[in-house]
Amino acid sequence: MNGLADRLEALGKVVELGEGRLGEPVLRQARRVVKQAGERMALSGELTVVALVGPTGAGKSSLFNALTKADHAEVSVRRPTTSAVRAATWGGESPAKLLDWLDVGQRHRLEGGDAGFSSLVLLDMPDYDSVESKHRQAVDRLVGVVDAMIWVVDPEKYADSSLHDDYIKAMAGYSEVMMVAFNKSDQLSEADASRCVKDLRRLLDANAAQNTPIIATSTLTGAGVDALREVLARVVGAKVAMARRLGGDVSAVRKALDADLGPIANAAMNRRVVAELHESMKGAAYVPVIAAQIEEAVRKRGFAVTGWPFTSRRAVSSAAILKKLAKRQSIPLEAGDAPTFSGSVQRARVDQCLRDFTNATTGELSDGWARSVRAAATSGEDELIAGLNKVAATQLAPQQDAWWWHIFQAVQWLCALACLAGLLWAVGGLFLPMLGYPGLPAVTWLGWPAAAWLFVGGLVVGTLSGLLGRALVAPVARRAAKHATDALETEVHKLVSDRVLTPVQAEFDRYLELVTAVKAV
Amino acid sequence: MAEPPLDAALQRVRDGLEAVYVPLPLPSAQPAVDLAKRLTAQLDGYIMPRLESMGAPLLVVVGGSTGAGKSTLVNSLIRHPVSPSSVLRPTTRVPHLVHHPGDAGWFSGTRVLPDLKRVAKAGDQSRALLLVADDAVGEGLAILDAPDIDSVVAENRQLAQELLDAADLWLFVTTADRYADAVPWDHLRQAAGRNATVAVVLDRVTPKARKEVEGYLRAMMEDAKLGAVKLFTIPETDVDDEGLLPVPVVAEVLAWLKELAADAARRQAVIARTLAGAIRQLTRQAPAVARAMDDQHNALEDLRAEVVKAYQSAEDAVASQTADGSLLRGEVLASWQEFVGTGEFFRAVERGIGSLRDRVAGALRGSPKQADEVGAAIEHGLDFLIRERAEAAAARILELWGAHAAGKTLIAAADWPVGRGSGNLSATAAELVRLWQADILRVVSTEGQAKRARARFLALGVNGVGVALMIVAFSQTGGLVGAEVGVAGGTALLAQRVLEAVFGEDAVRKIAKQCRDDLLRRVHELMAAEQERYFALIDAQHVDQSRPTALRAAVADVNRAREDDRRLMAVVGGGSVDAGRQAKADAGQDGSPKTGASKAEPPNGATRSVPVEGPSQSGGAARGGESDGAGPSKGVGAASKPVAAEDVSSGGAARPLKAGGAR
Repeated sequence: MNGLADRLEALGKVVELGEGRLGEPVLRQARRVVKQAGERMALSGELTVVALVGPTGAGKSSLFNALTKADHAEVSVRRPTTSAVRAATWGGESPAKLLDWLDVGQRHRLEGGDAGFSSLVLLDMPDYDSVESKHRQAVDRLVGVVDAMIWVVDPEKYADSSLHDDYIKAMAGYSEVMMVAFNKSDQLSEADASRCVKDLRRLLDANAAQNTPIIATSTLTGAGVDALREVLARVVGAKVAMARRLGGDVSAVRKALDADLGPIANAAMNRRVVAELHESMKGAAYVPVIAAQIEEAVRKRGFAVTGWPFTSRRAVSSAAILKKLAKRQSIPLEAGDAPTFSGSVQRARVDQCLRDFTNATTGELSDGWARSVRAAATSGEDELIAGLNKVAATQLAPQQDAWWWHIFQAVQWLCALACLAGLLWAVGGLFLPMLGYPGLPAVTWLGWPAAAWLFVGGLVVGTLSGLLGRALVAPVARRAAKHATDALETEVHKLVSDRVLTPVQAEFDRYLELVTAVKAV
Repeated sequence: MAEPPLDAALQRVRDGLEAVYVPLPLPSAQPAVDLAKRLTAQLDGYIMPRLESMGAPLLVVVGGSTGAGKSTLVNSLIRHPVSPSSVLRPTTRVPHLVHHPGDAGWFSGTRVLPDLKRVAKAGDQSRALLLVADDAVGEGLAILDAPDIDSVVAENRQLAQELLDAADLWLFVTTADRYADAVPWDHLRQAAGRNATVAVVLDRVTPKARKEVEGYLRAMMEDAKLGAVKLFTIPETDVDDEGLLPVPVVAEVLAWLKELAADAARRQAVIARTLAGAIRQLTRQAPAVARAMDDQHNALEDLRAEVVKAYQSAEDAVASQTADGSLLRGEVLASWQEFVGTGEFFRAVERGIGSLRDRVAGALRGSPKQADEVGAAIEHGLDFLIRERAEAAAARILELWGAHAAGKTLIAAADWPVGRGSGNLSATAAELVRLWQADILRVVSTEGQAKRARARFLALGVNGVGVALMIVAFSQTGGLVGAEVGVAGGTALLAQRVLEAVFGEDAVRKIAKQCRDDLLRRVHELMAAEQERYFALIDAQHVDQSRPTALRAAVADVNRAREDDRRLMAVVGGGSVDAGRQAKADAGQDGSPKTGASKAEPPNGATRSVPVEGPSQSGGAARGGESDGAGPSKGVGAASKPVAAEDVSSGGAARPLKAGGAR
């Protein structure tokens, strides 16, 4: 077990880390204990505050008088008798600040006498079981702050439900700083009294208060008062009651914290779940769609450049057609008509990615922590979506044609020209002499007229180069798409890491830090 | 039918209380169950048997705090150590009922306190009753030594409450130390509240303090409106060898009890007063049980309202996002522009382009590939939107329900993940979009048949026109398409133009609206199916309002009937002693006072007329009382007669016994 100061420090850290993540009742309790313990320790580590607590008529005030050897407390047959808290201190200066903190109005300073009591503050309290509910409130408040308690009971009331069920059961953790005075023992024969004490012992043990001693007392005969005084002096002299009491408070909080946290979760992100998030986020960023668009654009452009000049005319971009159409229909095309991806569908997709991710991640966490992890995962959603759109809008299609396209283009043109020349030559050779012009020289290559060579050769080579161009453009387009995909994926990956995984990891780290702190409480 | 209306109504209240059903752990639930249990026990153990036999001996219950000296007092009153007293707390475990030997028949059966087992010897039994016949107790009066009301043994406290509820007269024992304790005063106030007859014994008073303590206690009693209650003081004295207080000390209490035992009329008055008070108290407390059941119903309705709200906002979101053009982004917009950029679309919009070629081209080609892509993109986007909204609604419900105790119960009761959409949500959503698109294509082809611009229609193909129609439907705010839409306005206008060219201006508006309405109707159906899962969870709790309503009606009946019931008016009566004698005689004959009494009585018809005409007599109080005397006594027979004679009533009368035994 760590020292009280360390435990309180850990508890302070738990409060800080658990803000908004732990249940509010637990936090409130923890905050109260931290504050109360701090205040109490700052006030005095020397003094021990002991309260006489008991039901009405059990003789608390008589016992107070017997212990102080004075008649400060009013003793009466009227029930309930004592309604105000009364404090007695021995020698020295009155610990005014401590008594102010305890909110005790009636103070009695006793001169000298009991050396063992020099650092004792003894409180006489009202009852907790009478028709005066205010008394009970006062008792409940002080029972929560005093260092040690003497429960005063009598033969009539030692088995009351209000003592055992309402107090002892809840205060089992403080059994070391409690003692029970079985008062008015003079009313019974010695044998009966010891039977009663045994019975009382049984009742206390049943509520795990084994460490609480019972002392039979009688203020009438004075029996047991000295014994009580001795036990009291020992408690006060040991100067551990305060630390034990506060330790009990801290232990109670620890128990509540454990209950609130539930089983400790494995607060780490599963690699598979993270991979799934990245994958689904790519879809939400329309990476495949953009890549397909780029591939299509490159292919079209490549076909247009490398294709047969007479047929590739139709490869005009659809954007150009759209513009033309809009102009002719006098429809204004606005910025909103540019193909952006942001919008409700994209948000829906991102929402869904994040929801699947947090559902898979928070399974083991307590409700409060699951909520905080969800909040962390969605904290950067707006920036994430803006980032995804920025990525999508990046011009990733290659702006320049590949150099060899133009070789194909030149070849195509040459072939086209050759074709044309051959045609003209043939036509010229046929018709010019008819019109009386001098005929064209009939050149034959390898037994065939040159015109035929030019025409057929141009046609064949052009077609072949066109086919070859097509075949070569397709991989270029695919590469461009692949390149865009890679670039986009890197960006999306980075965005997801920055905007989702980092805050979630921070939340997990916080959780683990808190669990460590709780263990130190 | 022969059963007096009060008994019948009380039986219905009892049924209503037993039917208390509060499955949700609301703050009012457990108290209601406890209260219902307690009231049922009081009905079975006291009110019903007492109404049936008003002449049974008066039951004095000696109750109070632990260590107040109850057992010693009882022993001293009968001058016998029958009830063990001890310095150990709590003492009395098995309550002792001391009665006159002649009254044995009244108590040996299950007439009163039916669910306490009668035992001959005190042992460790729980929920038992030890009968002690002793002629120190006068005939017509019995003394019951109850357990303490405030000891650590919870079972004792509960039994004490039950016995106090069954008392005709409560002898409250307290001491000079105890008299200001909160717990007994709660009980005393309760007794005062229901007008039960109480006497207070102040025990263990030192002679010195007697005057002072008596004074304080008196003052407290006055404050609690118990000023008129009899107060006995017993001084602190030594007990004799048998543990009995000296005779002079208890003489006053003894004399008072003897007097009461001897005076049948006064006894009857005490009985009637306490019984009337108990019934009145019952009618005041039972509605709390009904209210707790209302709370259950209301809590479930609140949960239902949250479900409705979550899915309503999901529907609203889908409606607004499919109307403001925000769906026309990304994939849809890109593929649409791709589609618009094809020559077919161009030609369809531009007038004056040869129709023959288009017709041929359209017929050959079918629908352009791009139109299909637009359709797929729309399907994709819409599917995502609907699914996500449904998922968000489910997550919202989990959050809202998780904040209530009632909601948590339902979440725990569900065997499916409450925060998620249904398992086949994605299939349903995809199916929804597909069916909607199929419908649109059907509308388009039907409408298209009759239109003049068949050429354009054919150029685009059914699918082309279909996607144009979807685009228009998604950018329709108040039936208008245009620049005010802001998002993708130009795109939408293009779609609008092509549709106008095909269908004409007015038709476009109508058809687009129809498509949108169709979509929203389908979305509504999907969301309704989703929320139905939650309704099923709520309905599975089987909380309805019939139970509290029946209980309230029964309480109202009791309130009406008790006004007229003569048995409760015996306060001034004098002749009730006959009832006791009669019953006693029967008891001797048969062993069971109940059946014995019923056999001895004349037929119902004759006895019923007496109580009916009784109240109409306006004679003097004494004379009225005299003639009334026969009423209550014969009423006993009237009430119990049907028990043996009629199925219905015997069923009703048998139930408490069975219920008691089962407990």
